[in-house]
Amino acid sequence: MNSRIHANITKADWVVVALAIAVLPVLYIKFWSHGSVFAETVQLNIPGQSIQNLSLRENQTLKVEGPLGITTIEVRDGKVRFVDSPCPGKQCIHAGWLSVDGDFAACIPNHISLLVAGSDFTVDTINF
Amino acid sequence: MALLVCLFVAACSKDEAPHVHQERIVAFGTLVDVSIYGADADDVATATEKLHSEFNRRHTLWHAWKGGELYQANLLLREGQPAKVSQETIVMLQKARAISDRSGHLFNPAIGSLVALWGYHADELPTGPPPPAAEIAKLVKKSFTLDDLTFSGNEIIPRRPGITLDVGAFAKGYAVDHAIDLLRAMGINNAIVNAGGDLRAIGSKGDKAWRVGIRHPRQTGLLASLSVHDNESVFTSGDYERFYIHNGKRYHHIIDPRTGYPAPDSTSVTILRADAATADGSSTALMIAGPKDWTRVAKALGLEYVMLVDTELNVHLTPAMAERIKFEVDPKPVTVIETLD
Repeated sequence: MNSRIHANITKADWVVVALAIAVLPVLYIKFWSHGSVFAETVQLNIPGQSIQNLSLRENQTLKVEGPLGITTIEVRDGKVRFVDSPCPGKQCIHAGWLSVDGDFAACIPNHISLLVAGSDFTVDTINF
Repeated sequence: MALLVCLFVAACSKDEAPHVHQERIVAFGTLVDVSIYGADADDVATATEKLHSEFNRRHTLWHAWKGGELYQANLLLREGQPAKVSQETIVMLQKARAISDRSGHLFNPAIGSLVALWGYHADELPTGPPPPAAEIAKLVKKSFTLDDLTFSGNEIIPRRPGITLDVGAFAKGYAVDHAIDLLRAMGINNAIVNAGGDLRAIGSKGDKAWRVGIRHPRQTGLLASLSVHDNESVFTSGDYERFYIHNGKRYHHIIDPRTGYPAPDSTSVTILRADAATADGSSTALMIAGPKDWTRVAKALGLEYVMLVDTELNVHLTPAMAERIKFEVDPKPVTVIETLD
């Protein structure tokens, strides 16, 4: 019986089985590991442009232009924040660091917003 | 066997996230998210542009402290003079009055003077101190409601001087309803319009329901989430939206017309129902009603789905809402399920 099954398995089958085993760790990390609370991407919205996804793993300082002038955004160690903005209330800066899925802050006067939304973020929009 | 594995992999890959166009614009003095499924990019761009201009038009029309139609009308009404406005303003105010009446005037767009006294008729948040108690008491005593107005053709006629209208707790919901009407008229039947966190959804994302996250009132991230069906609105009012802290006490923008002070007993209220305008006014009314009285007011307003977070962060829910809500915090909050009998 065993030998008959063995005889029916082709080389292509072994290749598929080997590939399936090789891809298992990747699938496990993608679908089953929820150890990380922190997200890996932030949606940056700039007037007149479509929403951009920035990696929270790449430290950088961005200067983006809105109707009032330049807003400075900092990405550092998995977090993002408004550093400077030409708005009167500075509420965007007071929001501080954002790092968890669903965290958001906006500079309404300068039309720039940040929404942390990693691959685990399963909602389409936020009620607040 | 190789064929079987390939078929299995192909079947799995069909479960990809459906394509949703998302546009984020600034309109109505807030962020407006428009999510559209199943339309081409040109239609999405046209629809977004249309919504943008329509939101901005209504925002100007009904702004409480910048020189639009309602602001101009307030100048006359305060003096006891009749004010001529557009028919759409009359229709909006009539709908607001119906909801205000049903809420026992806890939702009350006639307390503009009180809101202004607290400093919330300004682009910048007030910093305190709170207004003098005597001035608050003086305005509360006048107990203005929309029933102090009569509507005749395009005219608003006040029964007595002193009234100031502020439709901040209603106009956004009303505008969201009209935005959805506009999308439908353009043949778009699967969308969410989210204006500053308050939204109405139509259709779905193919075979998946739209999913909405509800912000935690006291920490970053989400408190809960729920799936919304075709033609449902989700509105949240909270004490974290516009507030200042003075001597360690929070003074937010949702003013109880009975006391003249910010509603003290609720942190946030989320309402789910079909029309956004009613959901908007109702969430304000229930914030003011608080954890001891919300069931009575919810029943009067004909609500079925309500979630109220009190100041201890305990969550009060109607049975229908409890079935829909999935908490996104660990540990889950203490919940109290209350019927509307």
